[in-house]
Amino acid sequence: MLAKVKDMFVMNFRAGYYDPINDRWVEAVIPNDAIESQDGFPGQGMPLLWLLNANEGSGYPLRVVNFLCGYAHRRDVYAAVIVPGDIEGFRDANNDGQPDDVNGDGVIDDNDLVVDVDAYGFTYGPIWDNAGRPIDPPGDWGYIPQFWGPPVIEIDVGYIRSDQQDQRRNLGGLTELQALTWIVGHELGHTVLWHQPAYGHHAGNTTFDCLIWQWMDWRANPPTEFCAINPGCQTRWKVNP
Amino acid sequence: MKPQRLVMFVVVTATICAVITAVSGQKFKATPEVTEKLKEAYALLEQGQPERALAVALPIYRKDPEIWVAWWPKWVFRVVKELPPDPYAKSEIMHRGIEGGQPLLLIARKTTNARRIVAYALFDLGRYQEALPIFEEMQRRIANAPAIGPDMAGRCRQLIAQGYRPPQPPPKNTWRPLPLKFREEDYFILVPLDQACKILGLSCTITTNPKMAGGKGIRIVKPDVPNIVYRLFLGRPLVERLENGKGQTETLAYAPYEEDGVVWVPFYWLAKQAGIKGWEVRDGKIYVAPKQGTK
Repeated sequence: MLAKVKDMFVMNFRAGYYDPINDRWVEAVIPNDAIESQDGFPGQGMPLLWLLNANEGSGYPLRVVNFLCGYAHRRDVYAAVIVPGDIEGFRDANNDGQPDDVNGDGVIDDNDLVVDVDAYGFTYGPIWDNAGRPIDPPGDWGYIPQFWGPPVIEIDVGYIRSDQQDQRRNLGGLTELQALTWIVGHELGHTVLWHQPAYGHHAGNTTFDCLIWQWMDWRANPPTEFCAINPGCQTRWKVNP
Repeated sequence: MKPQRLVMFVVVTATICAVITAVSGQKFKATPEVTEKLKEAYALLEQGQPERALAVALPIYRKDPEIWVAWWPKWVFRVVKELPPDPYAKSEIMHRGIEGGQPLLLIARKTTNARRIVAYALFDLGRYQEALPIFEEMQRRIANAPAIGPDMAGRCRQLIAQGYRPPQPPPKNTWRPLPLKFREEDYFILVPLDQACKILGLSCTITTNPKMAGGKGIRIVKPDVPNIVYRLFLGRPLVERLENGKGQTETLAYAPYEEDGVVWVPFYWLAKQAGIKGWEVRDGKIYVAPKQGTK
């Protein structure tokens, strides 16, 4: 695979696929178009995404990708993994980059989850650690106990579709593809802007032109790239430092 | 036992229990009674009955707005081969969903909390001024999280500024009962598809199709819009909408299932397709609002 320095690898877990054993199509939960469609991300201010097939092989899905640049192995990188889900999350009330120990037992685990996050998408961790290396692979699956680790993105597809079909909420008449690319693009942004304040949420003036603005308001003409100025989110990526 | 020792015993026991609860329990995990109430409120809201949803959720919200619940809908147990994990065990659910070949678990689990139900019920009722501070509080909670959510507070402000009022269904004394049997599951009203389609004026076909989930091909068409076909799938909480050959997936709040040759489908979805603006269960019957232009 030949990729440029600011390209990204993404796995769509639970994409639709053909099951030859049972001779049937298994329906997609998150369509691949939400990640790779040029209709979704036509702008320049978005990393080029290489879609990997999460159904290939077996075992640990946070696969290390052999990143070739200029026909040479450049380094190993992780692919962001997009999964459908029903989102709850941790609190990070003081924004210190660590989840809060809600029940006060000294351990961050499932028991610290709260469900007052009214979110379409949620990111569990960055592609790179602060030193610019791929994150250390957890020994176990360990999504929750080792939170702030794997670059896993959870997308609440049912919630998004429900609001997309609701004319009282979907005022701009956005298509499912527009809504999903907005949310997927935003969360991919968190994986490469994790080191920035508020995990990279846009803080400048041109908020509605930037994928990493923190709210989705179902307006017409949704953002399809990261801003170049104010504060210039696309220049703050840590894609492959 | 002497009174002092008894008091000491009670104090020590209570302290140990409190410590064990704090250490091992989920701080916000609900009791079975609250779980059932919030499941009911969730189902009412999803089925388009915000007034009743609010009545059920509001006392819980006032008492403890942080309470949240997680559960597996009953339909899940019809389609999974092994018992799903504790619905609160997020790690295990993701593990089994992604690596264990049970991806349905990722989308089948339901969660909700009283704050969310109250906010959306008020919004659906058009009480935007009351919904606004609750949405603001919800948005404050994810302001610094690596997440994106709907700007419902902004939407409320917009509607307040416009003075918007949502359309109201006809008065309930004009509603009529349907000659349709139904059953309730997880507080969702389910009806036999073929009977319901006849009564509601929809066209439906159910055919054997081993390539479809559940082994049945289910198609529904509105007679006045013949170029749109809805496909339902047994054991899947979604609908595929085909318009002129182009498909789009839509959400269904409860998965259809088949029992003794009868396909059971959520009534709220069929009522929506039939253009019914209001309905409720009263005295063991489903009452529906008259369609516009009818008596």
